[in-house]
Amino acid sequence: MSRKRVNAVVIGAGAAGGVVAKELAEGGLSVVLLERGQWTTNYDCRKDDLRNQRTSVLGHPFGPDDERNPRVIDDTNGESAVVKPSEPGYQNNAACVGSGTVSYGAMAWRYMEQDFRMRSIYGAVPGSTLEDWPITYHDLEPYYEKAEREIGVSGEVTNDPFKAPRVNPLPMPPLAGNRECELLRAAAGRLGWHPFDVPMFRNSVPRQGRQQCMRCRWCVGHSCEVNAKNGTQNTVIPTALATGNCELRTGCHVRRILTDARGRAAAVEYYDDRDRLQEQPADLVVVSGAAIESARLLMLSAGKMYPAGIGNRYDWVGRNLQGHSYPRVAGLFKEVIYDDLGPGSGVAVCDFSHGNKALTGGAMITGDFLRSPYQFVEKTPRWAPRWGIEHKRFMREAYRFHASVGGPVQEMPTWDSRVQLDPKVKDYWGLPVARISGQKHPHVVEIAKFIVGKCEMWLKEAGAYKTWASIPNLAVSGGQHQAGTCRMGNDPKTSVVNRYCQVHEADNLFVIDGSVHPNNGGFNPALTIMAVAYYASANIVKTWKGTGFRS
Amino acid sequence: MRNKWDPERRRFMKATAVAVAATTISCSRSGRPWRFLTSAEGAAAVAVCDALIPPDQYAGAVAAGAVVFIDRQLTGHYRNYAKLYRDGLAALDRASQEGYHTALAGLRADCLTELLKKVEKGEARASGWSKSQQQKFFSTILAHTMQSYYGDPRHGGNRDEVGYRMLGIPATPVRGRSKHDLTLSEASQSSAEKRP
Repeated sequence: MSRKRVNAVVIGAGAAGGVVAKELAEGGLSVVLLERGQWTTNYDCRKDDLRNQRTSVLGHPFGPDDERNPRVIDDTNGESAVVKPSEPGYQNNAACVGSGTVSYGAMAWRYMEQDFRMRSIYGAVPGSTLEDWPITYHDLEPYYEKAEREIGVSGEVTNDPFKAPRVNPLPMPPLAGNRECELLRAAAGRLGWHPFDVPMFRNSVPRQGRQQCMRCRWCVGHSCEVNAKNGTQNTVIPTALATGNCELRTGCHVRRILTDARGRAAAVEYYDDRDRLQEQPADLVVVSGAAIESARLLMLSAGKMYPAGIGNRYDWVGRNLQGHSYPRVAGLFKEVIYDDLGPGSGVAVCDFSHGNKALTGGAMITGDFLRSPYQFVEKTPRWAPRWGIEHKRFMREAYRFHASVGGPVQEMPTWDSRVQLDPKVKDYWGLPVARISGQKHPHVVEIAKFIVGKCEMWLKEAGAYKTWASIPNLAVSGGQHQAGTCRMGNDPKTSVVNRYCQVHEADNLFVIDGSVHPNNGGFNPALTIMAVAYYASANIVKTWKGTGFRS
Repeated sequence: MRNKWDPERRRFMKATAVAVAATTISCSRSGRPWRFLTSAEGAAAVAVCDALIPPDQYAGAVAAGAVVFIDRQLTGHYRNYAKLYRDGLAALDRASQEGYHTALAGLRADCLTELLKKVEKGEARASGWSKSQQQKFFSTILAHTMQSYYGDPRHGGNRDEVGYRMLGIPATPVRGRSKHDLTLSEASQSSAEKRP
């Protein structure tokens, strides 16, 4: 059934889609925002340590649905398996209004200036497609600030001498740290490092009619019980709806983007919440489904003019899939570290993000979010007894006495780490599913080993008498940090979208989400995804002439 | 604002308790204690789970509900593991018969531990039970037993939150009864605290 024409359809109500919908609606465009998941509320915080977006051994509450959305994953040995969304390896990002911003740990990092210019600073890395962004930090700075203000960020980064220049301070002061945080802060200071309070999408004071954080331990992986964690679902999306210009349709699974005879986007075809096929005509279409599903949708939209998918003439769609690997070190202390105060991860250092000898990039290092007992069981060291009476004794002597640090390593994008359409496996709606294959660049492991050394140093200085490390392997990463599959660039032969996130081949089609990141920085990407969304939306609104989109 | 002293809520809680008790009775009347496991498999699982997390000053895995947890999940989220359990528990019983001439459920604790150590490495002797099958079975039942003991009690394990108590961390607060509950105004919170 064909619906009434609108100015813009935004596909995906996550970190980017929520921002785009709001900016376009405020700019006077009529917008339909499509989301495959449902609305969740803060009452959906079930405090279940076995069933959440972080530990999903018994499934996950915010989707996508386990039975309807399989993927095929090729592992590093060349074996492939059909995987459900809540299973390891799926590279899941929540499917609900707000997506990952409902259940994330909520770090709100700006990338550093160097992160946008990796190729210029470090040169080519053999085996990697590492490239500069076509835009710089300074292009994004005002939009970083807008994201911090409108979504709501607390923290204190003044003490970080490595940060990129910023005009204004963060809108909210930091939360007080827990015992682990203060121990690490003091130790980093003694080492001559530069610890500071991690910026977080979290109210440290009541703001925008919502409560401040109550510092519980059910944070990362869960929705916030008191609605103090800020995502697009409780900020920009309600604002978008309040303009009267935006209609949000949930439970809508997009089948493909329809193009006209000239190859421009004309409409979006989707299955609504009762599985009826709908057609929504629009003047412009924005794809914000996150790196894996956005790439898949462009390929699903193949047609006469686009035999390999829209934007895929030079085979760049789905390439360079990346996320972050986390080298981590845990340490045991003589004193009790656990004080039942969340959310954790309050302090960080950026001393090793760049400028490390013989390494291309590095990582921000921070404490970990609070670990549930079962998470800790999964991460116990090799020498710890796995079961029996000795296991119980170990748990009693270790759980409340441990601290953990780590950080997201800069990834070197690779051509073979990619998303394709699987030739055989279909989803519930009969559409070919995403097939994920390839592996990480080996240099990522070299950086990880260097970072592990620094993590050990940090914990030992803090008083740990024994430490153990986990070093990432070469398996593809993605998950909530997924990025890279629709690269932004000036040359249509080596990228999918231009500097305004506009698909080179179709000027009224945009990809706005982590897919466009040429590389993903050494930080959690949520704030950058939002900043790029503000930046790209500003250009759309500016260019909009009211009678169809012309760039 | 409803609080824990609200009589209507107490009536509700009472009614719920009765309903839960009734469910338990009707289950045991069916003559089969488990939803998925047979009685023999249940007995084998009891032996294995208590060897993985034995009782000491804190309850063991079985008293904490490990088999309830596993059995419940095998008809739910873990139904794909049903065959692994069925085959694995049977093979483990064969290994017990072949190695110790007794059924698994009757095996002495030290012998069972010895047997499980072999299964963990994939070195137990039981006809038709390969090394990788043994290791897969062991790592699965170990992970599920750990989940039951340290995970949320709503899934049937961690009874009386023994896993949390053993580690010395507080139980999961129930909404409306938490020190953190900011939905109560300060006045009603302090008056609630003054009550006996």
